Amino acid sequence: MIDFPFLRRTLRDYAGLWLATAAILFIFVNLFMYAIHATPIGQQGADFLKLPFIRRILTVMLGTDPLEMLTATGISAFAFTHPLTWTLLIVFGLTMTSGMIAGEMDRGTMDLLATLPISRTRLFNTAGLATICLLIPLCWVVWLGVKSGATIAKAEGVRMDVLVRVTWHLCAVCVVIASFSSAVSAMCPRRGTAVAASFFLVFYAFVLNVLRALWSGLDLLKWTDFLYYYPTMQVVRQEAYQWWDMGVLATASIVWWGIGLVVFSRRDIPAR
Amino acid sequence: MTLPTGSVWIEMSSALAIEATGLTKQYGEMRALGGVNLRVPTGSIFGFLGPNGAGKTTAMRIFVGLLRATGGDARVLGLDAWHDSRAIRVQVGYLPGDVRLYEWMSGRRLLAFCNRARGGGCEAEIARLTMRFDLDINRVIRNYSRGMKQKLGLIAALMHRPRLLILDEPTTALDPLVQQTLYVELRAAAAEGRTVLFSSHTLAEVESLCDRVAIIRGGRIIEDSTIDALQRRAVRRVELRIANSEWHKRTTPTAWSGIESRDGSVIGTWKGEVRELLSWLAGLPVDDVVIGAPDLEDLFAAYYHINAGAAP
Repeated sequence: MIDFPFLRRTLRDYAGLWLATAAILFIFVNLFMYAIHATPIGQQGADFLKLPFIRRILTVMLGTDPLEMLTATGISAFAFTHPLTWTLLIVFGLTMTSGMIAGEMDRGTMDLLATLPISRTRLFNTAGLATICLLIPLCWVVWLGVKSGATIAKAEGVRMDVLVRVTWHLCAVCVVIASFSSAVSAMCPRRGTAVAASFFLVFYAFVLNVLRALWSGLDLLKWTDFLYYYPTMQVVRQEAYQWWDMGVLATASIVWWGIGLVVFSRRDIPAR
Repeated sequence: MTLPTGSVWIEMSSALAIEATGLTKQYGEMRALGGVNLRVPTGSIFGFLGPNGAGKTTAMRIFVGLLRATGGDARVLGLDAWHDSRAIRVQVGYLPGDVRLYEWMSGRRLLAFCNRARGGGCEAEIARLTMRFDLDINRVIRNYSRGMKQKLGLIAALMHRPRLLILDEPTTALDPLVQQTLYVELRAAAAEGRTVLFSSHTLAEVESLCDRVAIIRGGRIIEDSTIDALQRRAVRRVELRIANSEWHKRTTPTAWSGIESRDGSVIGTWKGEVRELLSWLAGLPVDDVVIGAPDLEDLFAAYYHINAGAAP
């Protein structure tokens, strides 16, 4: 079900982008860890977190009350939800998934690829595997950055074993985004359209996340928000995987994957 | 009969390399193909002609499984063009009309990727074709000229010695010398029993290369014939020297037209079988006669012309 020449080619093509993203991510997480552990949060910081609006937003974002989790591990887990972490992971994921299907059609190189003796199912599966092969290690760069940052900042009490579970949750969220983006990519003849549609989902999730903090009526829609299934602090507090959330994310990934596969294997590849 | 197809050998079971019956392709309200019937014999060089937007590219893309026909049946090498497209692509080399390649790769890397994707074993043929087309494959494709990209696309289509070559305007951007090299390659492929289907707007190319042509217009095949048969029906320039100036008072056949007298000679055109021309001339007091080669230009022009409702 996998085409190894295509896998190898794709991994090689995106290796440069991966290295650049990983380097930025690693440096950022190290700096973040140094910043939060070198400077104690202090009373002023604690008072800031007690502000109802801030507390509510963070509760929605993190899946639990941040004041309950002002431990070294809890604070370190913020690295996994920081907007810059998200931005880097999402930009990399969307660049890759949109580039492999819609991007090939947009450039006109799909003519070459789709006339090689590789079935479309193989092409789509291989594109997905390549994304997973690069995106999951990128999530682990965050964990590595936390570990390295904790060492540099001489932070004590950071439970890296607990953060392993957070990292796997992050991987699951990234895979959902990649699956959705791949499905959209399979439907669109233009890369720009695919990126825009995928970005809309991410934007929707973040906006809904913030709005839910302001208006509880929107909790009705929380199940449509992939961030709802990423309760970082619950993982830290309970020191356990949130299997229900992981299951939902895995199911969503498979469903989007299936949709993308069906669409791509049946669609026309128009001439440029 | 068996022919090598990369790493796969498949028994040739059909005398027709391509067989399309009532092939239709609809894009919403727009009909790109309206019931195409086409039969491309195995081992032939088949020219596919037609004005821009006539449906040539659409038909070719259906044959390689890039497009799904809305209706009708398309069989390539005896297999269903859509459902068996992977098996077909093992045995087919395709060159799109507008060759797009991975600009960041070198020519060598692109060909190596295609070779691996085809199961390997094409190294010798890649080396031979690279020499034949005189292409520097160590350069990055971004720095290639249009003609060089076309050559690279051709090598990618030919490198696995496919049983069927589907080439959409293959000589575009090629210099005359490389065009001649391509013709030699295509003739050699046909001589080995492989089939070539190519589209073109260059009539001299079609005339010199093809065994058979199909002309498509408005999504329908309006002519499917051998070059010989077309030539028999084509217009010939005829120059006569006739002693008796009163000859034209006799009844002239409808195939004869464009009469022009000058210095005792008569110049005209004959549209039809040459046999009939000779029998007509036999009844005239002809001192000398020069019969030119058949000119397909006018014949094709008539097919291409928008207002030419019926076949000429």
